[in-house]
Amino acid sequence: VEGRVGNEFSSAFLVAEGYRHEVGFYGSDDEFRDLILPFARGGSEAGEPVVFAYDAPKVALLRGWLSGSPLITYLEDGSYATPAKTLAQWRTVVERYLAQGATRVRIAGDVPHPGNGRSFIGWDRYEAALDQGLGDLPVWFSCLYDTRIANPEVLAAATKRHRFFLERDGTQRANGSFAPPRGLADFLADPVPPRGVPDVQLTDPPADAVRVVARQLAQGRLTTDQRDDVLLAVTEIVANATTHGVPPVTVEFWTSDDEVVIGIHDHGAGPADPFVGLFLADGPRADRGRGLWLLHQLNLEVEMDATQGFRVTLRANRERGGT
Amino acid sequence: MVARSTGDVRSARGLGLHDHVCWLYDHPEELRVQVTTFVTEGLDQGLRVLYVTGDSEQSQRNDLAGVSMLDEAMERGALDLAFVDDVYRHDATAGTGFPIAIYERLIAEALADGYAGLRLAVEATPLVQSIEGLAAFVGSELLMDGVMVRQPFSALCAFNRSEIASPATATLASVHPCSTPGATTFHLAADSNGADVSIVGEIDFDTQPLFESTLDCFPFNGHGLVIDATRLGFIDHRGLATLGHLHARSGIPVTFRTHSPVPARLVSLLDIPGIVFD
Repeated sequence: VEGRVGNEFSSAFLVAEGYRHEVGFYGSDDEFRDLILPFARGGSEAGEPVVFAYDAPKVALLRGWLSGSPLITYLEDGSYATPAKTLAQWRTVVERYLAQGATRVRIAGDVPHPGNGRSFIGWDRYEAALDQGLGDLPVWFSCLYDTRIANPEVLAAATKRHRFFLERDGTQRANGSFAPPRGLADFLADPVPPRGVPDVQLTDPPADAVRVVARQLAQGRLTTDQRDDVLLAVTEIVANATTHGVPPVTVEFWTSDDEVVIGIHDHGAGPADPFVGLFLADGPRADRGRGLWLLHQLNLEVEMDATQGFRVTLRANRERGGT
Repeated sequence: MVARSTGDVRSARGLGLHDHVCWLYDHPEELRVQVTTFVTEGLDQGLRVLYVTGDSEQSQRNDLAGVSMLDEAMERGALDLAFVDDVYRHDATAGTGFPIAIYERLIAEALADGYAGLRLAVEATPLVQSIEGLAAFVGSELLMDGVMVRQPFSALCAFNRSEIASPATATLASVHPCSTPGATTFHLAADSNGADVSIVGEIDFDTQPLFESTLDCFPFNGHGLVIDATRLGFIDHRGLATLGHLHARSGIPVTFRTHSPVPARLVSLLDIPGIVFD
């Protein structure tokens, strides 16, 4: 290991020997097979555990191509709950294998995007954050995108967020399109959705007043666990806006039968760290990092947009769960 | 479990045998109205009532002018007047337990004389105008509240908001099970189910400093701190970290009783040490 990557945002990128994070593209099952089989078989041959985090159809394909191996693990659902949880999960997985004597771990899976039925918002930041968050570990991430279902915006973002590119013939080269993020505004964000007049709008409210409204609106729309997560989330965002933002702080609530959406906006520039909230900071800035990190551990959709002031949008939906 | 009011109260009307209210007022007339109600209802409930202020007896009588048959109540011993300095000898040598012993004796006497209990209305502003006085008052208030939980003893502690610093008003309100609205978002009180303290209301980044400074004033015993939070509406990670710090400083184990899974989840996520869930 050459150096430990700190939690502080830094342009310096210190990497463990054996760390790789590459992107590749395929347009058919055959092309997928040609890219993934060398990755998996190479792992088996090198004694490196391989972890696949794909959905059931892909897992069926992989099981058909690969003979069973104690080194190959399939994680079907739940691996991509939220970006912060996934980053923490990979660290746990890798450290566990290393403790068991592995020298490197290989991980491949599909991040959420509209092509597989989820939103991509937050996942380009995840891709960019992997180097920062796990670059100190001997782990090889192979991020293969299916060009049949991933839209151009997803493919463009994926191209920008990987330092290495996997060619169709399996060779790896430096990715000339790689662009290190300079701030939150570099990541994809939904434009402020035209949700219409909010059901409730509060200006510079204390956090307990926001919780009063959130509790009322959650009643009958969200599960108890979702309501609890919303209460924690609004408290952290209001704390952040009050402490670090620029007033006025506006809190808006929209609801439908089984959904509560909350937008919290202040006029500040937002956090400078492009990876804010994804890693638990320690050290002198610990308190600042904790709230936004905690926010990202909850079962809610969280979107941060720093293009016009700083806006955090939370969405809790009873049917879809938080993720 | 004894029946008690908790949280915000808007009037001294309807308070019971074990209630303990922090009444923050702006105008003397407001105090007179509430004390008159509190005293009148206490007499009606068959309680012996004690009115304590720093003012003259004549001023005290003026405050209570609206109590019907005031002289008769005083003559038969149902209503007593006393001065703050006589009850709370708030000089440097007084231990914080001092007024507690007095009140326990007065309760015993009231019961022996056939009353249903003791009710205290006290204008306590002079006691909390110094830092030392405030700390001593806050430190003894939980013990006082413990007496109220165990015995038929109710109190209205009144403070003139214009004569004390605003952070102190929040502290005072938070160490009473109930208070006039808007003074605090949480209340610490004695517990009738075996915990050392119960918390109601909400604790977040806004109120965590108050929570910490208030806990710091409490004379907890060395064997551990059991907190009943089953009626606490919300606590964030900062509030829980405050309990973790208390554990780190004092070494005493902190037990947190709650029906909510959220505090344990926060403690686990953020690795806050020293808190046991019950």
